[in-house]
Amino acid sequence: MYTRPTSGELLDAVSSLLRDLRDHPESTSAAPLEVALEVTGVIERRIENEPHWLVAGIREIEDLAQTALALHADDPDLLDAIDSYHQAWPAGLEAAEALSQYEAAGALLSAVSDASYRHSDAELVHQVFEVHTRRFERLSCMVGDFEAKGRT
Amino acid sequence: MPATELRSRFQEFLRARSDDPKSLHVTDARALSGGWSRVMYAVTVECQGVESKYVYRSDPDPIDIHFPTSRAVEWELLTTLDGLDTVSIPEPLWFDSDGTHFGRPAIVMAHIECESLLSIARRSEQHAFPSMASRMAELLGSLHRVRPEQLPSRLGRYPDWDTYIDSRIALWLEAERQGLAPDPFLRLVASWLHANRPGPVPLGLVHGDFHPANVIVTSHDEYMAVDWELAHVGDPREDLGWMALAADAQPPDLVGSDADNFYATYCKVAELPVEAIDEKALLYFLVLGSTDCYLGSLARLARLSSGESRTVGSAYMAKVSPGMARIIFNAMKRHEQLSRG
Repeated sequence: MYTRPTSGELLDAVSSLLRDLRDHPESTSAAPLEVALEVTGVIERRIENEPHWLVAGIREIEDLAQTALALHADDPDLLDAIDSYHQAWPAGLEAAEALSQYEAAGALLSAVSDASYRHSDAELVHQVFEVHTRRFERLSCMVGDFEAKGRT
Repeated sequence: MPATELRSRFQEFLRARSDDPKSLHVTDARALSGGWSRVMYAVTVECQGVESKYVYRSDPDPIDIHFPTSRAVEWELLTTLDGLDTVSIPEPLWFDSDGTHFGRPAIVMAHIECESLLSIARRSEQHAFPSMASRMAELLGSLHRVRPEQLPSRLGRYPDWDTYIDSRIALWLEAERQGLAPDPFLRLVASWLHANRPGPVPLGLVHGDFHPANVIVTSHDEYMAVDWELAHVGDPREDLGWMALAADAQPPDLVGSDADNFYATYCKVAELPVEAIDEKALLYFLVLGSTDCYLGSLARLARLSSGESRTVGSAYMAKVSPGMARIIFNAMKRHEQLSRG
């Protein structure tokens, strides 16, 4: 009885094939294969980590939005953004829709960010930077070290 | 276009410009690595027993274009700079403006025996870096002395510095509107650029992709700037900021080997006040100077995601975009730290 391979298993097979091709003595230019391998590495780490990273990212933004609301409750654009988000995503997270909610939370983060600059609120700007820092930390885990390929 | 077809077209092109067409033969055409975005070949020609070489430069297939730029504008700029004779560049020779000869617009330049400065630096000892940086400062300063009124109008005209900066910030907001999903980083960058603009300096020629891989060192030890497709009228400090980003993404950092001397030499040649280039200004222009390349990488990722492109080059943007974004964000954080004391 055959079973369908998981995404991770498929990726393993592709990566292994690319590695063989790259290391083959007759490969005239291994550079594109090296790049392709790097990309499969990114996909692999994304499959492994994304589900819990999305949830963590959403929670951070929701907390930040509450802080912003307490500071600038009279800002109509901020209020609109928070209302829209909560209407679309009432309390309770459906794991299957985590990516959609994460994207909606991204729009909410933009609204908080805009509000922090609109009110020249240095402390809120700082907190916006903190949330972005954690987003970048997670992204860095996924993407790995970066050194530009290209003409030398 | 395959190399064999290019050889045949190039031969026809040069024969039409030769006094002795029958004895002219293209003997070789080799692809050059021309950065991410353009197709380049070194073409060897023999005529009456004499060998000469040329560089051919055109667009790749539309699907592989990283950011759309115009060969016609690039040609206008190259011939203008060649006429000014104050910035060292390879001599532009011919332009197939409508693709009559090569199937798409193409520039033909003089071939120069050379090596990229990055390539030289990577096999050099660190003690050689300051002198390389100093020569690079002279080259960059010379091109930043070129004033907007000396340049083709298609490179941009702005009534004042703020209008220009606003136009660059608008590109970040536009990219967010056209993106695949809300991208709070783009919005943060736009707000940050708006809130932290430094004092102005006169607008001038900006290379747009100036770093050691785009500086060639000729066999006569002359430093020349190549790959002008992103050139525009703007704030010259954009090139300094972009160089700082490039040094992080593609080491070694030549400027960092003796930054004080680099900036002193640069300011003297570019005729800019040293105080216009403090750490905060450099961080600001690292961010602003990344506008074309970073937003271009996002556009290419979007084409990959929509299925419009399936190339390895496009897929590689999955590493390039976050890699660049991280460097940009770190610059903004450092700027925030300096502002907060």
